[in-house]
Amino acid sequence: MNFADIEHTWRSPHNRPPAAELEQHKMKLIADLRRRQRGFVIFISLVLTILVVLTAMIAWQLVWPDSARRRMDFSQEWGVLLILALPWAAAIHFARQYRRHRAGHAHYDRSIHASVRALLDENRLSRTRVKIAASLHGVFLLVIPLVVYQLRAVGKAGDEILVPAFVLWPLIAACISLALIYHYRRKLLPEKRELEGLLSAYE
Amino acid sequence: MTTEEHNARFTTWLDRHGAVLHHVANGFATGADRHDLMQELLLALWQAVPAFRGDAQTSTFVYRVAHNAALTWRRARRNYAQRLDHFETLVATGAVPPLAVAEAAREPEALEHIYAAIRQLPPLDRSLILLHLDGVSYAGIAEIHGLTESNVGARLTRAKQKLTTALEGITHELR
Repeated sequence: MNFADIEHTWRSPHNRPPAAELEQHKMKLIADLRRRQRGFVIFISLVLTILVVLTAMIAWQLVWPDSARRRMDFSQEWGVLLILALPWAAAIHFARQYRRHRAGHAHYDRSIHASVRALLDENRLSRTRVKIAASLHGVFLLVIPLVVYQLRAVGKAGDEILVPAFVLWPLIAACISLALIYHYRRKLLPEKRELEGLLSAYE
Repeated sequence: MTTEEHNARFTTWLDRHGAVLHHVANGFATGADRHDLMQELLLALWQAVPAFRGDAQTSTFVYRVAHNAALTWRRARRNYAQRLDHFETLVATGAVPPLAVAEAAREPEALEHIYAAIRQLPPLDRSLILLHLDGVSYAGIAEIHGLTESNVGARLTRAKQKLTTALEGITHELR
């Protein structure tokens, strides 16, 4: 079979998708889009709600200290502020990183070559985010004893806090960290290698 | 862009360029993977609709989105073996016809050989040859991939040689 034969075969009506197949794919796409959108909205809402509620609670103590039944003394309970500040700092860092990435690859849609470069950079950012998120869990484990000590010192917590703080929380942190490691090694690293391979084919 | 406009444009593109997606899906994947890739291509196209600014031809835009999605597509490897096992079980129990039979019933054998040979090429060459077979000019391919025309020409010459070598001895059935 020479190339003219290949071109001739390529143009045959058999090389067209059946309309029913396209319609079937379209219906599946609609269902898939709804599922992805719902999952994303639930995840973002959950994370934002937790952060905003915790921040609002502390802000309430700062702005209207007299209205709080159990006033917070930040000179003795600053550990809580540290725990709250870390995720916000990480979130702001991620947003700035993403903005820089967008600015650096503003014309990513100009060609596939440019898109691959942008994807590789995005992969680098994702890997950094995973490392930072995993490190944050490590830092939390160090800060938790301080928070427990402070809360017990001001009489806001007793022995009931020990199991959640030193058993439950480390377990949750370990599970999250394992999930992050799995994501890093099974998805992000192979993706990086594939994108680098593709990029080297262009260069 | 309203949701109605988004959907209308997507449907129009799908009607006009459905064959492009079909070629790309077959050129990059086979069996159960082909359906996953086709779904991925549709998703990429749907997500790309608002980004179309009209500064390129619709066909060029669709080619770029589809080939980009195919080149960077990674099948869900964790589930891949499971799905393959499931598929093979269905074939073994007679619930679905064997893959070769199912595909041969839909497309002539010659076309299957061509797709199989294309899938043997390195990913970038695969994309170039698919674009070339779809009638995209060297300048168009260069624009889509961000390569120079001379580079496209040189790569295509090599890819065509590999393809014809791989298909040597295959009888052309449509003649």
